[in-house]
Amino acid sequence: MTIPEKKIRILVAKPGIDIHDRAALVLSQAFRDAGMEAIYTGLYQSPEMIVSAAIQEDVDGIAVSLLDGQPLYIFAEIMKELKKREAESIFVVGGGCIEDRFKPQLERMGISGLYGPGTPLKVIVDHVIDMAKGTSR
Amino acid sequence: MNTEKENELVGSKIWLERPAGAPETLSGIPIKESYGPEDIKDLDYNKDIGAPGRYPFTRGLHSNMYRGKIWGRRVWLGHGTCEHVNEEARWALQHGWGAIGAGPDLCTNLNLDSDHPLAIGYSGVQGCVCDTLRDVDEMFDTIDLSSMPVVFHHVDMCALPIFAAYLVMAQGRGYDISKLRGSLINDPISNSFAWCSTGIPNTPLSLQMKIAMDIVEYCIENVPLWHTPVICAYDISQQAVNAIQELGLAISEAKEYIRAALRRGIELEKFTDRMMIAFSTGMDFFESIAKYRAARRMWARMMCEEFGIENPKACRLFTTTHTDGSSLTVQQPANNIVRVTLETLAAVLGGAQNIDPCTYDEAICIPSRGSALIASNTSQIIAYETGVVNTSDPLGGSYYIEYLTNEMEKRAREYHETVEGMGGIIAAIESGWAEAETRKAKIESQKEVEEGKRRIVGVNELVVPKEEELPMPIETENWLQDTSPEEWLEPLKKFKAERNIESLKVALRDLSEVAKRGDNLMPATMQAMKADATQAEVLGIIREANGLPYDPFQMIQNPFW
Repeated sequence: MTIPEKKIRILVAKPGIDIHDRAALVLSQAFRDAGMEAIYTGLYQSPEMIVSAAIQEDVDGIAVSLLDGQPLYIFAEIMKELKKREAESIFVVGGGCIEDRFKPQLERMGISGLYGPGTPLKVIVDHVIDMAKGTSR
Repeated sequence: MNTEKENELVGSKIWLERPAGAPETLSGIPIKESYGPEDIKDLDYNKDIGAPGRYPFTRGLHSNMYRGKIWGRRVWLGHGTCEHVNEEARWALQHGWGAIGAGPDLCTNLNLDSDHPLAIGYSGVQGCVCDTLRDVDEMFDTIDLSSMPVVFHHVDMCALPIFAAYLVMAQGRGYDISKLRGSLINDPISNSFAWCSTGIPNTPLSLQMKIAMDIVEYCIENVPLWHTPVICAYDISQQAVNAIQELGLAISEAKEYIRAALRRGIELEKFTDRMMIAFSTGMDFFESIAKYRAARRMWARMMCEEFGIENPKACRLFTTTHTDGSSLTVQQPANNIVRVTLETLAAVLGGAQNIDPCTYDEAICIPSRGSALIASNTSQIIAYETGVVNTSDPLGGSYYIEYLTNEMEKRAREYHETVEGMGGIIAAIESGWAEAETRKAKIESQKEVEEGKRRIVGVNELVVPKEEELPMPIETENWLQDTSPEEWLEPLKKFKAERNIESLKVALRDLSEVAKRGDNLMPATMQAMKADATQAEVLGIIREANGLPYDPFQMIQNPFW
C-alpha cells in the first residue's frame, strides 16, 4: 500500500526569553525552501506554549533553537509536556549554542540533532526529513 | 596498506590560488588592483580630511590620539549574581581593564524581576541579576567609581531604574555625581528591531524614547560627563547587515535622537557629543577602518551643516566597539584569537575610543577568566608591543583608505537618505521595513557562506575533523546546575518581605503621578529605588501610568494598588 506523500510540518520554536532569533528565522526559511510547512512560534514561548502549538498545528516535529546556554531545563520541560499531553510521536530536534557536555544527557531525553553554529543548512534539513520519515505513519 | 600510501603522491596547488571573481569588500564595494592619486583627486585635505583632532575629524578626535590616551580597554565580564560580578570586576581591574562593563541578565532586559514566572531559569543568564538598589550596591562593592568609567551594556527601558540606583548608590558613598564617567548602551530604537526582531512586548517605542530622553536631560544637568544614548549599531550589524547599512542606520538613529532633543528644547551643543556609536568591527580589515573614518566625517558634517552647531567639539563622534561576535566560529576556537586580533587592530587603526575584544569562546559560551584575559591582552599587546599607537591615524593619506572612506560615506549617506525618505528610522521600523531589511540580510549571509562566496576557515574552507583541532579550554559555569530555581529566588523574596512597604508605596505613588504628568522620570525613579523598589516595579508603575499593562507579558498584576 502506498501512502500519499504528505508535506512535512515542522514547528520552529524559540523557548524562554532568549532573544537571539537569527537562526530561527533563517532555519524557517530553509525548511520552506526544502518544501516543508514551517511554522515559527516567535519569541518568548514557554514549554507549554510550544507543545500546545505543536499539537494544534499537527506538526511532525519541533525544531528548538536555543542560544541561552541553559538547554537542560528547557528541553526537559518540553519533553515532560509532550508526555503529559500524550504527544510523544512528535519528534524534537535541537540546535544553537549547546555545549558538548550537555549533549549525552539531551540525547538520552530523546533530542536529536543538537547542531551548533556553522552547520550547513542542508545537514539540518536532511536530518529533519529523516526524522519525519522515521515517524511517518 | 603501507605500500599503497607510498605510492600515493601528495601535493598542493593552493599556492597558485587567486581570489575568485571580482574582489569586493564585504559590503560589496568593488576593489581595483591598485589605487592612485586619480582615485582621490577631488579630496580636499583641509575640508574633507583635516589634521587629527580637527573638523571633520576623519583622522580622529584628538591631535595626539593614542599617545595622549590609549583606547578604553575592557572585556565584558559577569553573569550570575551581583556578588559574582563584583568579584569578577575586582579581578578585572587588577588585570588591565580600564573600565567596568556590567550587563543585566535577560530577565532584566525584558523588565522582569527574577521572580516573574517567565524568568524562572533565566536569572543570571547572559548577564547578571540586577533588580534592586541592593543588587547595584553589591555589584560595585569596594570599587572606586571615580577612578574609571562604568559601562552599562544593553540597558534599554531598564536603564532608568538601574542608572537611578547607580546614582543613588554613588551619592550614598559620597561621590559627586557630576564627576562620574561612563556610558549607558541604552538605544531603544535599535532595541526595537535589531536586538531581536520584536522588542519588548506591550511597550511602545514612544515610551522607550521618552525614558531615554529623560535620562539625557537629567545627565546634561547633573551627570554631564556621562555618555547617553550610546547608539547600538553593533546589534544592527549582528543581524547580518553590512557595514554600509550599519553606518547608515546608526546615522539615521542619531538624527532621531537629535529631533527628540530639539522637541524638548535641549541645547544641542550640550548633547551631541554625549551620544556615541557602539560599532561592530568585522573581518573586512580596510572596510572596518574606513567605516570609523567615514562615520566621524558624516557625523561632524551632519552636526555642523544640518543642525548648525558651531562649536567643533560638539561635532565629535565618540565611538566604542565590540569586535564582531558573528565572525567567530565554534570550529577550531583558537582561530578566533586571530580573528579578534585583526578586528581589534582595525578598530585601533580606525581610531575607536573604547575597544571590547570578543573572547575566543564567544561562539560557545559566556567567557571564562582565562578567555577574557586573552581578549584583554589582545588590546594590551597591540598597545604596548606593536608601535601602532605612536602616531595618529597612520593610514591617513593612503589612496585606498581615503578612497574607501569616501565610498563608505557616499553609500552610507545614500542608505541613510532612503531611510529619511520613509520618514526616518522610527517610521521605517513601524512600517516593518527595518525588520524586513535585516531578515533579508540574515538569509543572504547564510547563503553566501553555504555557497562558499564568503570563505570561513574551519567552516566552509579547510575544514578539519574535531580530533585534529587544537583543544582549547572551554570553561563554563552553569548557574542552574547547582542551584534550583527556587533557591535563586530566595534573596529577592527576602528583600521584598523585609522592605518598608508603606514608604515604598509613597515613592511609587509619586512616581506614578510624575509619569502621568509626563515630567522627567529620573528624580522620582531615584526616590523609588532608594525606597527599595525593584526595576520591574518601577517600569510597571510607569507602564500603568501610560495606560499600558503593568507587566509586558500580562502575567502578573500591580501588587501595590
